[in-house]
Amino acid sequence: MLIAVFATVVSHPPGPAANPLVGEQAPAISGADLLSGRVERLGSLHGRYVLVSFFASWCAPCAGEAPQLASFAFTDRKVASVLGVVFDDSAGNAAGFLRRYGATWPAVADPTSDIAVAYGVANPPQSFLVSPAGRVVAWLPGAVTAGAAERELQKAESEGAGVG
Amino acid sequence: MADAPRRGGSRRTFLGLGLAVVVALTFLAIGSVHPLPAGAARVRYLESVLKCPSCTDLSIGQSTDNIAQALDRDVARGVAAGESNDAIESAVLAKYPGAILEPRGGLGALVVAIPAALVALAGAAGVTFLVRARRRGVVPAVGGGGAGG
Repeated sequence: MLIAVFATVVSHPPGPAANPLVGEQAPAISGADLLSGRVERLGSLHGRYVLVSFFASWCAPCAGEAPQLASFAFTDRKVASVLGVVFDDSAGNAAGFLRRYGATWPAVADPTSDIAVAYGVANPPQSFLVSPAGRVVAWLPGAVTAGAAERELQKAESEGAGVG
Repeated sequence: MADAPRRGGSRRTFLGLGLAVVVALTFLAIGSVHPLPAGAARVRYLESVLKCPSCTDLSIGQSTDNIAQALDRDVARGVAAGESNDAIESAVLAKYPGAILEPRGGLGALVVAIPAALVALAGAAGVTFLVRARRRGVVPAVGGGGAGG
């Protein structure tokens, strides 16, 4: 009976679909760019919108997403940048992935997954649009299309997210 | 012939003392199983109830996944910073909704409750036995309180 009483205790319900980071200050990201070796920091990109993209070479949707990111990075290069974060992958494999898809954006390794946990990422691909002021303005779970990233960027710009 | 009741009484005394020793040893054993400081015990508890978000049915304490280990470090940091279990769980759940393996106070509580109940029963039995033995005059009263009956 005791077991039955305990067994009836209801577990936590799943949370809302919205990401709690949206509207918050973006967690710091820094590290050596996998391709150039130059140190990249999310903070040093303030002043522009940044699409933070969590990816892995073993992730099939990431492969589909890469050309879309390339398109977004090129089309919106005046106002936005892409910053890749490797999710649970070796730096070598991730660098090979970036080369294969002609990535023009920097990407940093996250060997301890601390960045992934700070952003609440459990599976790639996932992206976060960060405003020039350093706030997360949009969460894009799953493979991002250039169109979707563009829409979020325009929405953020129209709402004046870059100011706050 | 007069020796028979005395022999039976001393046997009961030995049994009573034996039971008391068993109860004391049980308490000692439980103490030695959980010699961790409060913080470490809390980390261990949280590790056991928080689900590794990138695994299937593994707690962050069980998983060797990078995400689980990073969460583990977050939990330890939270405990060290004096945050409550609820606050730490809520912070993880905000990032990873549904990242709880077992409801608080659920079946996991039986792991603690059953041994605790057994120890309490053994203690009560030991005390009852000693009281009865004292009433029969087998065990001398401690402190001269005049307990004999």
